[in-house]
Amino acid sequence: MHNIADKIRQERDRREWTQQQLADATGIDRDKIGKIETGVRKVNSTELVLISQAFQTPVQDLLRPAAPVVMRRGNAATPAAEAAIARFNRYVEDSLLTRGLERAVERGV
Amino acid sequence: MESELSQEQHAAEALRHELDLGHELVDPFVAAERLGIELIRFPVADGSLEGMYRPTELGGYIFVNSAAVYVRQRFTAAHELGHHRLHGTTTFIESSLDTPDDWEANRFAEAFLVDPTGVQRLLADIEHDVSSMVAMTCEVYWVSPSAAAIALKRFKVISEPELTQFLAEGWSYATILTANGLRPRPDPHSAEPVLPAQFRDRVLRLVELGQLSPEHGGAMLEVEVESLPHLVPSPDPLGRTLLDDLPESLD
Repeated sequence: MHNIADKIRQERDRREWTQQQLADATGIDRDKIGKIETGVRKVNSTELVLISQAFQTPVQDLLRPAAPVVMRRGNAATPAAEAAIARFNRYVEDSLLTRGLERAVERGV
Repeated sequence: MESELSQEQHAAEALRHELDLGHELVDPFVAAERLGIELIRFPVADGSLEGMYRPTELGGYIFVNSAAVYVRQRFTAAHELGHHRLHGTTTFIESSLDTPDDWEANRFAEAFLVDPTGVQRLLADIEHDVSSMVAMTCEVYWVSPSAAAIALKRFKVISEPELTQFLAEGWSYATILTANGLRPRPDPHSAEPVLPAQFRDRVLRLVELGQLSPEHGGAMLEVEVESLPHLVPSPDPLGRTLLDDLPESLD
């Protein structure tokens, strides 16, 4: 598993961007984006900064492990399956955010 | 019937006991909710994905493909509950159906949906006919013929050759019931996405409290802002208390 690669792809999926859109936003070649996301090529620090700026997210967020998909049943890697995994992960993140907010409200924060 | 239970059957029996479900029909979707697991359903039309399970520190999350036939959705939900109960603290990545973890989750699902004790009672006075025994099991426990037959084999009600021959006949849930004079249960859900009620309530509460913008809340619930229920500002707590304390009549 490539944590940064998965995290970049996850963040791109969240925004429903294509690899080309990320390439346009960062100035990094689309082919390089594809290789970075699949772990074929490592990302360098300059590219990481450009990607974080495009996502408007701190670099350290990209360095956190991607939320793993834990269990699959089915035929894995079709576009529909990939979209479903992204949607499920988005839901889990939304749910965790709302749980956190609710706890903060309960504590009067 | 064989009384020895596997680890997975014990776990299923323990969950039935924990939720006080007895030996009758269970609803794995309700069971998930009662365990604090948020279960989301939406369609994956090409059938490439049936279910997912993801544990977090705050509890598990389950996805079920709502495009599948309902007996399949029930089994998938129970299978993912099996991962929660058997492998809940372990992280798995892209496992396939062929891993030992999936076999265990399947055995859990069979035993959770098709209760061994309940089956023993159900079939105690029934003539040993595989088709009718499977049909009755399907009818009572709302499972597919293959899940019912495999469970009956696991519980040693039918033999391995009987199971093999039955599976080769290719029965569906509807056809096995109809052929045995039983009526299939109607599918209670459409394939429309279903968000967990507890999540929906939480989002609406946070929007009402101003902790989430209506736009953000609407995006989380996958609806337009205009579709959100009319949000009434919380009344001033002091004013409400005073009103509550007023007598019905001031005479």
